[in-house]
Amino acid sequence: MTKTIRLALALLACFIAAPAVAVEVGWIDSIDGSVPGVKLVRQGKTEAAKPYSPVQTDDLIQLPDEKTSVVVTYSDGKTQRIAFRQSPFRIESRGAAPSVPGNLLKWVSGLIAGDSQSPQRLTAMTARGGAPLSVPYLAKRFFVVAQQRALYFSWSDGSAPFHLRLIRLSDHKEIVSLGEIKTRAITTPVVDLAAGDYQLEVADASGSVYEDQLRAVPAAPVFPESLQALPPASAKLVAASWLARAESGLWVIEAMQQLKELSTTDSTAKAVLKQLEQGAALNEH
Amino acid sequence: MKKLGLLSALLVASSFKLLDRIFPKPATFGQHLRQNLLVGLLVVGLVIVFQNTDAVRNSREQSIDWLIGMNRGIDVAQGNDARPFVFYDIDDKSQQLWGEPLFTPRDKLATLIAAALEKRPAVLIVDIELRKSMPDDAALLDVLRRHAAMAAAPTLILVESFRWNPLESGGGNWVTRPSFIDSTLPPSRQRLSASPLFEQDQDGQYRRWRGWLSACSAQDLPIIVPSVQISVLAALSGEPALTALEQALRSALPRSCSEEAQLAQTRMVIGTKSIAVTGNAFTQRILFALPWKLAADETRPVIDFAGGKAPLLSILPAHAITEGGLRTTLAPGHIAVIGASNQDARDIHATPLGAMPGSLILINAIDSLIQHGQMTTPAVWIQLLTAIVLLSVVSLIATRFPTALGTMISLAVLVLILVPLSVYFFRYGVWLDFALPVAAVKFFELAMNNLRKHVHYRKTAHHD
Repeated sequence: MTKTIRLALALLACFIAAPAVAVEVGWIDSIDGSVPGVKLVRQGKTEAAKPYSPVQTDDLIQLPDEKTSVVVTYSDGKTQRIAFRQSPFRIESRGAAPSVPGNLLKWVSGLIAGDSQSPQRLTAMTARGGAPLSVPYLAKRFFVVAQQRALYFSWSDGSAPFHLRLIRLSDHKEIVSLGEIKTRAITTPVVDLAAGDYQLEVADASGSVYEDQLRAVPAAPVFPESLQALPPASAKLVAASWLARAESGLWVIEAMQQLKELSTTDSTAKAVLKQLEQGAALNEH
Repeated sequence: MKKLGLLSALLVASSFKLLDRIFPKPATFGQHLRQNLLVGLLVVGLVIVFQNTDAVRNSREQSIDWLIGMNRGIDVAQGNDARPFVFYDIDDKSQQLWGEPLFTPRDKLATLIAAALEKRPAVLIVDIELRKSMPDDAALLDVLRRHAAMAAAPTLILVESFRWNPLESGGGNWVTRPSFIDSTLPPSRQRLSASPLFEQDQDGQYRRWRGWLSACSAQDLPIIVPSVQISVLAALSGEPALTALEQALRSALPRSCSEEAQLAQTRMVIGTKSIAVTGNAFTQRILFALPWKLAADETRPVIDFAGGKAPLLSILPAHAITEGGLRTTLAPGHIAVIGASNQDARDIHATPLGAMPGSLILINAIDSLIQHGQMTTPAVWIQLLTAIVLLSVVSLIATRFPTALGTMISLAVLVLILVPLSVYFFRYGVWLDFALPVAAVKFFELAMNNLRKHVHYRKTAHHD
């Protein structure tokens, strides 16, 4: 009996002492700042970290200074920006696989919250069966008007301070970089927003990064009817509210810029802007 | 008008009297059981008889969609076969970095194929249009030649391209659009062509796979092209399975494009899976489990594979391979797919798990087939037996708790037991609609109780 207990304890000790198997979970997507200064420590060995180096659980990423940051992409597609204050940063598996109770809970909470499951209306140019379709898939890229301008952005959740960047994708030039943002909304300084694609990044204190894309284009759609009969402020409010819904929401960020401008003097514009910021869709009719 | 109202009232009253005579308020277990069996089995019978009507089919589709939602992104059930998938994704960033080309640059595609083959997948699927020859084909042809010369080369599946040819007489047929690869390179046993097409429902969603596609060749000759998922299943099972599949499809070849292909056998065995040739709409359901996007707190499940651990699905952006030279560690024997999710590819589709690129529908279809084979419904006698057992339990509860509150509580308890059971069976590819007969019995019971109360109230009021 004692022998059995000893054997069981020995097996338990082996199990506890067994080193965890390192699993490759992603790779270094990019390094901003001092590239040679970034180090990757794996099982006690230190080497220079390079973009596109795979990373494993328990790897440590060391950053040399505050100006340097590293973006890690995980194999599930999520990205994380690592700042100097988090250095040395230990790579860990993020989150857990969904579970049936979790999915059920989400479904029930969706029912309670009254989330209506709107039917999916995606269509595509390519045919995977059925009759080939001709309506283009709704792009997720947001449109803004290209001009010299300040831009207003807002977001929710995350922990302050935030860091906002706007990167021009044609040459990867950072045209806006604002750090230590304590609030969840900010108006950037006036920038030269030339026509083209931009990447918007908002990083929070924990390193979580929200990324989206903007496309600056020469002009926005115009409200289809004359608004001359209305006072100028009301006409602008109607046009901006309409724009928020135009082309299935592609212009919502441009509409927010216009509403932000109006909101300093118009409480209705302020209320509409607040609704848009909460993700509410304005009725098309 | 008054007479018509009176007549309707009389009709309702006499119908209720008849129902009340057939189903008097039960008190004993025997009475409950008799009534519940009559109603429950009548509903089961009606569902079986009318299973092809729109109403029954739609309710079943919704029930399966809901179960798919409950199984979204979860771990692989114990005992199920599973293989890791790697999706080399030409995403928006890759498309931008490549200068937003109209067609996938062939040199980039060649780099992707070479990098994917280096990792020794069991099967590599190239879900990219390769119909027309382009000026930069040399690198692609070179990598395909090297693949053909490889010892123990992974199976390479190139998707076949089709166009719909509407006929004046109504309907139409699919016509294959040959690829320049077939006319440029000699055939290779390790390079297959397969159909990437699925069934599209009226609501625009993709829910079902096709086993193969009857089509016309460019020379107007009938051909049968196996689907990607069936080809993968056969390739994983080895050369004999591939040969058997080809022979079965060849034997079903109709004489002309206007005729339907008729397979001689009713079932086709591919490796360890037995596929019903004349499968109905339910057996063809893809049990989607791999969503495109995950919530912030979610990750992909990890499976045991080839003596190690591997994520069930890894999505690698194409630019990380072609521009960055990313070489991740991947378990040999995985299934690799090169496809596109970028907006310019216009290949995002609606599914019960939300929008996803066409390549991810392929991955879900293959995963569904490897894990579950075809979805099955138990034999009619099992359905009836299950219904009888459940209805006996319901009758016992109703005898013990005869009040309305008791009925509601027992209904809630039954739902709490039956829903996880349905989800559990679904994880193994078995769809059993437990809830319908029980729900029918409970609603019938509630309706009869309410009617009795109503009639009792009216009689009492009349006497007063």
